[in-house]
Amino acid sequence: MDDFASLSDEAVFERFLDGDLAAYRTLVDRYHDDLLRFLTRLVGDRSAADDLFQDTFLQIHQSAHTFDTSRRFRPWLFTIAANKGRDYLRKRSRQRAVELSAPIGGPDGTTSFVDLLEVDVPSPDAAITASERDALVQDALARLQPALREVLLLAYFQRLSYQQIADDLGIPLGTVKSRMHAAVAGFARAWQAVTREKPDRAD
Amino acid sequence: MTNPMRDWDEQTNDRLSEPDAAALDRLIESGLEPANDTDARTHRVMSLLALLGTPVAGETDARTARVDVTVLRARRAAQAEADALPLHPDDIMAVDQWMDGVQTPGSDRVARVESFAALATSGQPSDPVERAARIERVMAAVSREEAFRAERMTLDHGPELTGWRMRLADLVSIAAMLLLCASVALPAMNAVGQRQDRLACLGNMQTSARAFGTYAGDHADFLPMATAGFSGSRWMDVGTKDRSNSANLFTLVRTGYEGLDDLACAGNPHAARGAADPDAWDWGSMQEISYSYRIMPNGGLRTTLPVASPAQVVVTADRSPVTLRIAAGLPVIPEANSPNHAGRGQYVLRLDGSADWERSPVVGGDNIWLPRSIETIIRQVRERLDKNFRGTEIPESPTDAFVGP
Repeated sequence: MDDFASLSDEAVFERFLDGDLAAYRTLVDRYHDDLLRFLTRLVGDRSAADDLFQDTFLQIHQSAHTFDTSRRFRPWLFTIAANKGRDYLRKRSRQRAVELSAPIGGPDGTTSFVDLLEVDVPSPDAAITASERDALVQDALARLQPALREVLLLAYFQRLSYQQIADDLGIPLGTVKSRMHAAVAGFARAWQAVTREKPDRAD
Repeated sequence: MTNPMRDWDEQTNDRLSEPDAAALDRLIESGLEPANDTDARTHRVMSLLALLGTPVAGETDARTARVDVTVLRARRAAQAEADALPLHPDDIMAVDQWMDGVQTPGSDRVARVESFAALATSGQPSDPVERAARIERVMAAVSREEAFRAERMTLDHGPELTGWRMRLADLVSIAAMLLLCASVALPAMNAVGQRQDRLACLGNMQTSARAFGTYAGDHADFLPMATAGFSGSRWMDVGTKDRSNSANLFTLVRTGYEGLDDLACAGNPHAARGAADPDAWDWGSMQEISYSYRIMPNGGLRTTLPVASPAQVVVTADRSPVTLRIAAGLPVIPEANSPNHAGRGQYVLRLDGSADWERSPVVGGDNIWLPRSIETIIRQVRERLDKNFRGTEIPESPTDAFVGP
């Protein structure tokens, strides 16, 4: 596996396309943490994320020939993962329609502006355990509308520019921006709420 | 594909302040890699986003097992299994049990597939705890895949499968079919420009392998036949029912087991694509055909052919340059590769469902473009040439072109 340490994802994928299964394993290992976090945050269920993690990489394997190696691997991987997660949520929503169809937004339906300097965000070395932070993040994301949650997570994990996102989704650049703003605002508001509700858990 | 941006129904009321929005925009455009001298607001935005990367509880638990299982699943989906067709008696019994479930009214599909998954995931490695966890994961995964595949089979052939009692030979064919897609190995390829075409072609081979398996399962193990089997009669007249071997392969399209697109190689600019004419029995011309098919003998050919190694029986390959040149009235080059992949080689699909990239048409001493009788003639001519050419010959006349080293 060390053979690939100095290679980019795309170069490793090229090796996989040449039939080197060790290269495929390297990609699974390389993206283990990020992809599992992305899927867990997206679907809110650890065991489901575990399954979706495998499904995503299986899809990568089976669709390898469709990948344009001149493009970046990371966004492709997370796009596939997002599709898997969305399918899962759709199936789950049929079983729990009421829960997931609950509207998200300000209690009085009016627009409110979020100033992030007023939102307490713990620094990495803050007195909060990893499991506490994990639970708070999951709580906050659970309060976001699923579509906003997906936009936010994709933007964070895919690391694409606005223009690339707009190109990928085929929608205007301005729309991408405004919705990303809304997603971050919604997450900030939700984070504020969960930390206030549990003041002893987030410093 | 659902578009999360489009699906968003504007229900949220929260908006970022202008400075925050500007900071967010800068961060996104920088690939979430802020410069060292960023202001407090940008830091705050980044800190908020960084929360999304917070490790999830227990993510490092069983990390190795998770990677192993994922790779194992992928390997199962691609690994060549040369002996996939002949099932062990115990395996046949397991498949029988699975099939018994099919016959039981009210039983659910998942239970049946799980029985098969137990078969498919047998023989996993060592450590008992890891082994149990791994098998559980793989079984669950295989179950989903097989359920999906079984659902597709039902959709494609529902009326025929409902209440259909299979014979053991059918079971073997179907079981082989289920394993077929796991038996196509990724080839070693060098030319980047050719790679995607080749992989697409490999995908076609996988699809064809499944189509052959399904067809054989539905037709007493016979490979596709139109009306023509050959025993000395002509088989190159594309477009005829009784003098065209390609009409036999076209049977897969005509009877709905495979689409024209699945039999169209990207390396063939004249390949027929799209919806097939419902009345067609064959391709329109030899140029439209992308894959060569084993010449069907009179009476057809069964997948249960009594041969020691089904891996030696070639079913299809990329289109033959030999028949193309004969049809065009050009001299034959026996060892030429298929024109589908710029003459670099060809895929060959075998009776056991395996597909391999071959750099030469001579596979195991047998030229796949030629019958043994012609190969023998060529060999004899070459032997005579080797024997008679001594390096002492001279041109017969000034007009006899003859060059040496």
